[in-house]
Amino acid sequence: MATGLKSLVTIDVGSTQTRALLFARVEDRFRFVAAASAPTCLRAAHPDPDMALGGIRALEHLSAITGRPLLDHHGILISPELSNGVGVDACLITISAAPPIRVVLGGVSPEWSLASLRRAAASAYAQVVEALSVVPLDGQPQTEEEWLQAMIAAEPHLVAIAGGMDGGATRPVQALLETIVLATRLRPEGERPWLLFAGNSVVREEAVALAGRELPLRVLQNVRPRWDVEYIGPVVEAMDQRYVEHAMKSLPGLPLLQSWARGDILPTSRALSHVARYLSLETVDRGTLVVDVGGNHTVITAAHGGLLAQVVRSESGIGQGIVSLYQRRGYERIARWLPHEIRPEALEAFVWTKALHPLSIPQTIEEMWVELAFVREAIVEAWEQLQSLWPEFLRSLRAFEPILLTGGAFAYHARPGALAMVVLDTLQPVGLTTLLWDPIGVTSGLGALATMDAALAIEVVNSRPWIPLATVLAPVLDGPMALDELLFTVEVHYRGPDGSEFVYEVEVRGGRLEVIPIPGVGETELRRFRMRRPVDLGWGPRRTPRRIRIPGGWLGLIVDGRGRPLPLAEDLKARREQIHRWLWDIGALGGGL
Amino acid sequence: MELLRFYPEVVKFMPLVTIRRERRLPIPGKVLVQRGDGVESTTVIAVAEQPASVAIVDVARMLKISPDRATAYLQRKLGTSVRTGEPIARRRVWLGLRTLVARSPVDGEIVMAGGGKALIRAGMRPFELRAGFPGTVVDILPSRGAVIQTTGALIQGFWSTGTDFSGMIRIVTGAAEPLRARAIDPMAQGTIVVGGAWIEPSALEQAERFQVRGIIAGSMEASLLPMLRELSFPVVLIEGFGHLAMHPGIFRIFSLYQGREAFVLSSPTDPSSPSGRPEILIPAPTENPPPPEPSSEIPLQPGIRVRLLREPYRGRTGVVSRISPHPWTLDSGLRSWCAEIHLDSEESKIWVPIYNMEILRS
Repeated sequence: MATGLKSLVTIDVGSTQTRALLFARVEDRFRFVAAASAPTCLRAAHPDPDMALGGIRALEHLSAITGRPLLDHHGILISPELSNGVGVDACLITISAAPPIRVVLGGVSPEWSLASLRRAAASAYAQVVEALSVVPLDGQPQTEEEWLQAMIAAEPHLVAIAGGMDGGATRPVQALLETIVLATRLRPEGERPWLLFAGNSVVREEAVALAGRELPLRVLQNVRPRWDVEYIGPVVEAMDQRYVEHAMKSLPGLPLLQSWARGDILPTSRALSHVARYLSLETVDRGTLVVDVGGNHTVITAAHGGLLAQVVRSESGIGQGIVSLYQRRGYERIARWLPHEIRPEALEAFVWTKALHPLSIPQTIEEMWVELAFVREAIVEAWEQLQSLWPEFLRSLRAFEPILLTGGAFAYHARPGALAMVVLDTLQPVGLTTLLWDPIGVTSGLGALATMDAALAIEVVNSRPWIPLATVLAPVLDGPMALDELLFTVEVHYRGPDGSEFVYEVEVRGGRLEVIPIPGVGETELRRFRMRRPVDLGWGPRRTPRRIRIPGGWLGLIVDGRGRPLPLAEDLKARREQIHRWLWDIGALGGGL
Repeated sequence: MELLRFYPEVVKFMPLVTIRRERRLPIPGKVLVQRGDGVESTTVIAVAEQPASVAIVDVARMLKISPDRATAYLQRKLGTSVRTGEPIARRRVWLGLRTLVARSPVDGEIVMAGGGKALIRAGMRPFELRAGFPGTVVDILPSRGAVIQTTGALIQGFWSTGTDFSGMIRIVTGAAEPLRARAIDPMAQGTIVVGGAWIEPSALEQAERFQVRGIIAGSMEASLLPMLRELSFPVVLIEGFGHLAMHPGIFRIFSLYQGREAFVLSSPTDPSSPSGRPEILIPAPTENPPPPEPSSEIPLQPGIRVRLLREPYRGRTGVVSRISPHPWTLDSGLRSWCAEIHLDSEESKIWVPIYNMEILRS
């Protein structure tokens, strides 16, 4: 829907930082103008935790940076935009600051309805606190009374019920529904969970009758109308709405920000999925990945041809979520990514300091490597979950184009090589991939804009508001290789806008990363691959196109000759040397940009 | 460009101030106090109840009728008590020669009937909200709790094991001295032991032996966390994890109130997760009310005292001398606005990212 907007701010209320972005029409093009951030006032130490305060401070910074007044003397957003360019036409809000909602899933079968509900819950800011199943879970049958007790103990914000194909057996899902309705009635009014019924459509009327008028029941499309069809979108949407409702009730000041907004508040993960979906439509033969690591959530969204697979991993990040992340992953997994030694006590002190002072940032290079080790594990964990929930979807994608990095963990870096290495180590892309970098958190704002005016969002996306970090070429080998063994050579042909031309020949060696600077302007092609080993660059062993055109970027072309899966040395000393060598190869050591 | 303002976190430690704190139930309940009431720390100011367990009686199946007819056969009204084995519904069959009976499997209260089933609540889990510190109720939060006011010292810490507690303050070390076993003697029983620097593992064992009420210290190695779970008393850290000494100003307040009763308020969260700052309140009645607690929104500016949070300066304190006009690139490779800090007891000045410090308000 075209809105005719001249200007817009988006405010992303994260668990650590609140980011405000200004978009405006400049010389007939709608584009991203500036970003600013301020701490989100969440901590209990603050006597009046107030989400509005973070938003107001971020807008004050944005005003100071751009010279454009956005707030009036009372601290209220000026909207619509005045004739003198003061204020903005609209405001949109995204949020990830609230803790995840507590969710109970009820299904007939663990492999079908419950599995679909688990995928839905994984795509929202939701913590599954209980799963009720008619068909025994792990061989343990559950009685109705056990379901009831589990419901009472779980104190959920939302219960999703599914089961049965349309027109199939009704009794199993009816029994589940009856028990859940009974348990819901036990909660005091105002504390009752939302009930979602997304099961056999034949049972819909009975579900409505059972819930009566006093229970908040929503009847949705069956998540599994047929064995080979899955619709989790409506369940995810309802979970998003419940999350926002919960946030509005539990986060003081959020209603004030909402009163400035045009439309409803959008969960940040949903905004990210809109961007991932759009980017995936640009490259139909490959998938798109959007990776967001924040203070308390890690979100990975894979999209292909407009279809989505998403994992929102709560209690995972480099802010408050770092404690849970550390407890789940453990010392060894974190320390394996470090080029230096760290004692467990020192690592734990780091974890607690970071969790209790989530705004603080690494000042020394050693602390930077530790923080990036946590970022790696947050990505690995979410990536593993994504692969286990959507195995076929991800197997069908051989490569991703692009991989977009966003979120607080990737903000304000001046060592792009270190960020690129985080992606190469964890997602281990194969073939040819472009890495895009969002250092200021523009992606969530773009996703929010897409819900209001898709054409404007596309206009901004087409202006590429992200930094092209690097083009990655990562071969797959048929077996082990020796360090520095020659794998293949390739010629990089560059033609500048002034007609100048030059050619490099690159030797790609085993266990090494090669970085070839590529200017941001001009045309670059890869030609004349000469294989010394039957490596697969995404077109099959020893097969390559005659010419591959690649874009420029901050780092240029990275050729990752380390192999897949990444061969981390077992021996501690050897591994530290290995990581040090790779950081050197990629240019992450030494001074920043 | 207009000058940007930054608002790092504020840590307060004040020897005499008017303190107001909201005490709130996690779920709606009943508030038992009124505005103006005086309360002790143990006064229950609000209560709430949640069902502890429930039992289902499938009346329709037991009486062999359809679910929609079951309610008509119930012999007990909703809200009435029933004993184990007591009939809650009956139906005569075979011309009255035989009776089908649905009985309660537990002692409890009938709370609901629907879908052919009756639900019996077998107990309630009460939740009592206590005042946490002595004071006066100055505001009521309907269905949730109250705001309580007192006067005295306020110290905000870094971390605690997550429970509220109280006891007499007993300082057993110097300001920069670690808390070792030998500092804790039988006189420490029932008191809050205060140590200046970090806690040695042996001190925790000794404190358990002498049954202290709690420990407040500067810091502790994070590797001792599993040990804390086995202890019967809570621990509060003022500075952080590692080997950090308590800020001298905070230690001075404890010294000033040696022998007085302190009340520790912690956020009611999972002890294994990062909660809000624990707060130590030491009530001290005064004739004239002291000034109210200052705002937590203080812009960073030259002259402000700060404590540094991250390596290589973690735990150091100093005064802000100026703020960078533009973001700087740090050794870590991150870009950030920075502030120049004149470290205490040193001539040198250092540059530190603005969010790697907290403002000390004393």
